Amino acid sequence: MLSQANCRYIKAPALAALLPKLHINRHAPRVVVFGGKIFGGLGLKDYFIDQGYQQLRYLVGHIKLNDDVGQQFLILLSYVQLLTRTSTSVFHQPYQLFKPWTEHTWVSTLWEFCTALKLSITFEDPWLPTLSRTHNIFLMEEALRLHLATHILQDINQCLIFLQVITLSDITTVDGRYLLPEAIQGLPIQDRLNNLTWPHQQHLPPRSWTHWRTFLQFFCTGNRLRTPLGAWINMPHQRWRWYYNSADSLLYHQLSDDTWEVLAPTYTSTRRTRHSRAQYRAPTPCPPPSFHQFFPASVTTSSNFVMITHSNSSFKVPSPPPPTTLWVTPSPSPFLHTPIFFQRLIGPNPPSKESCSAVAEAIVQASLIGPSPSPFLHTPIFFQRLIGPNPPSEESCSAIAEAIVQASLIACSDGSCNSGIGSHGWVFASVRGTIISSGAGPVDGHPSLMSSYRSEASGIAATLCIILKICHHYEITRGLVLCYCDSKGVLNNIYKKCQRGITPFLNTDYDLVHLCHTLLADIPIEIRGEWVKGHHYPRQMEPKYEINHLADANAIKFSSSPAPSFTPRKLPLSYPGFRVQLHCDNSIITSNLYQT
Amino acid sequence: MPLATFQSACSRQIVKMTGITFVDDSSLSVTSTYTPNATLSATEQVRAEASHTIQLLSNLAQHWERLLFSTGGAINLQKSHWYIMTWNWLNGKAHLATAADAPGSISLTTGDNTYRDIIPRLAPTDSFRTLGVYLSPSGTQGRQIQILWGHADSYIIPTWQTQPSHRRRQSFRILSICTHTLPTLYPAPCSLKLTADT
Repeated sequence: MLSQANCRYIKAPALAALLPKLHINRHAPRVVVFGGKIFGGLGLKDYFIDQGYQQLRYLVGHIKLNDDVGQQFLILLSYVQLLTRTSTSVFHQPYQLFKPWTEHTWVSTLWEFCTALKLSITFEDPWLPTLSRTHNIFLMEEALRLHLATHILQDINQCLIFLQVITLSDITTVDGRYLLPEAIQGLPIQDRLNNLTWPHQQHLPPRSWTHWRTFLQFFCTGNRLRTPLGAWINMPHQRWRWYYNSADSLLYHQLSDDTWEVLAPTYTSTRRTRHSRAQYRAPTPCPPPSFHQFFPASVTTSSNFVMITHSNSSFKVPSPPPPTTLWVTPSPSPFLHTPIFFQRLIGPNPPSKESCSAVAEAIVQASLIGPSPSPFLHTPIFFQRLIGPNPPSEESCSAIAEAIVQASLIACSDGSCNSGIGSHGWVFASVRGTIISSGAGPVDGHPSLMSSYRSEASGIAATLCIILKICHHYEITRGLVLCYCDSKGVLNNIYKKCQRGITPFLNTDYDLVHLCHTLLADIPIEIRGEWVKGHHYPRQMEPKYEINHLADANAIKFSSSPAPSFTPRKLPLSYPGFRVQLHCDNSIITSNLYQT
Repeated sequence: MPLATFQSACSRQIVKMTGITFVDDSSLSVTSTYTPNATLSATEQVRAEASHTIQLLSNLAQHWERLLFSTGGAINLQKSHWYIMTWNWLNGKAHLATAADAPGSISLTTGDNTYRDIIPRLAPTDSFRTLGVYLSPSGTQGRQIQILWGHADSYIIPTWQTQPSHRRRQSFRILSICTHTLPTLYPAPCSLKLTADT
């Protein structure tokens, strides 16, 4: 890919000829020449910006399409991530910081472009290295903090590639107290296997290892760590060959052909004291041990004894975060994270957990707030916001389910957009016009990218989400729903078959259009999108016009007074299956990527 | 059948491909499956690996030629080329090996002819034209930049000589450089993967 200097070189003759012809000084500031017309600039295209834009199009389009090219992008990205050795995605870090040891690739050019424009790219499920123990550190991040010279950083980086390590725990003994002798001498670490695929690195010159050893002395005295590592908090990327079972002192060993053997201890005398020594003999084949129950160990063989060192804890798999919900508040104690001001206000004895639940029950019985409807019990928070604060009640859900099966259900959604604030409304009714359920929700997004198109698309997404939830809950496999909307553009983009290639993934508000396509693919019944004329008051009022007016009224009402947890957000939540998103100015770019 | 295999660092993504064809343009690729021999020196290792990979590509290319011939097609071997990307190590840093560092050749039979024709070899730093852009296996864009600069230069010569009355028309002519050169600035990012490398 071309650098900014290359791009300037190519366009220089053209600019030198063009600017005088436009009666502009050829030395005019390039900010004016390439600035947008809305800012008073000439609006000429800058090759470097165009190149970056096209790169972004390729990346986003192919990753969303999930084709071979997209997979190759992810492969390249994984190596850039591996070689930067940071715990956060590279596109959320400044490129200049990591430039000294990052190889010049297609991705690194894009990374540089994104940093210059303050853009960031978020991937749905990126691979990121983690710290596996307490008091552990990322070695390259530590080297950066020390403000070392560029050539020393490059040498340290090559040593890390040679040793195939990322964090300090990768080069320490299993008890977390000492550095491995191989790591200090610059030899491959033999007793551990690597889960990652590393680039090839041949032997390094002695100068690199001298820099490496000097670097190690910043957190070690000799080979002893100044701050020993603690318990395991994550699965490491290295695999141990030895595991120790503390309950019965069994030793498990992985052989070079990936099979396992177990060694049981035998004691020389029946009387066990702290001086008695165990002998491990006669290994027997066994299945792979459970890494979460046994302790990783290292075994050092000497001429007359075998020393077993083991960790004091087993590997931990981090537990997933608890589900969050906007509709119910199942916090163990409502006063857990109360600010100190409110703590003083409430006094030393806030209501106990039991009292809180009793009060909550009383409120529910008094119908001040409704209980969570069953089809929406475990709805992800993204869909909770989409549907809004008042999802269909259990009775409404069963009525909707019955109407779906009888093919007598109509639904309508409408959007509202006023001064960058969007909202949508939805209505479910029978074909005769009897309203079954209605509601409204916010439309999240940057105010400058908000449009009536986005609001309408959000309304359709909410309607489809409700239908999908009800179909899954009542196990409906056949039926028909007519979904009305007063925007022909949205209907065309959502209900018509989309184009092939990467182009559709960069259309306006494709996040919501893509979500609707996913929902339509999952809904097991027939959905027909129909256009209805908005704000139309004929003499004979048909049900479709009535529900359109109601949806519109709901959206406008919600827009003027949104529920507390449902105020429109500048940064939309990520929808499930988004794969990749572009961020700028603390919001997701949903439209007008080039202008942004 | 030999393949080009690309695997992510965490092994989540694995892409295997034999090649890519676009109308009558085909690119075949293989990646090395060589097992290092501890008894060889570093230079010998590079040569052995290159030789192994060239053999894989040769087999694949001959198989492709046979498939084409049996379905009524043919390859023009003099219009074809091949290259290999392998590295020499100097002070722990990798440098792309030249033809002298990794010698080898590919020769194929075509149709009923039993004589083997040698396919021209490109160095990794050479550029070749494909689909309107000049690509280089090493990723250098020097030739592409020079060609684009030449376009811009040739466009402006008549513009300098025009009368002021034609200013507006000529200005638009220069502006058309943007539309003329821009599409050729962005070669497909993965096109380097289409050809043989190790």
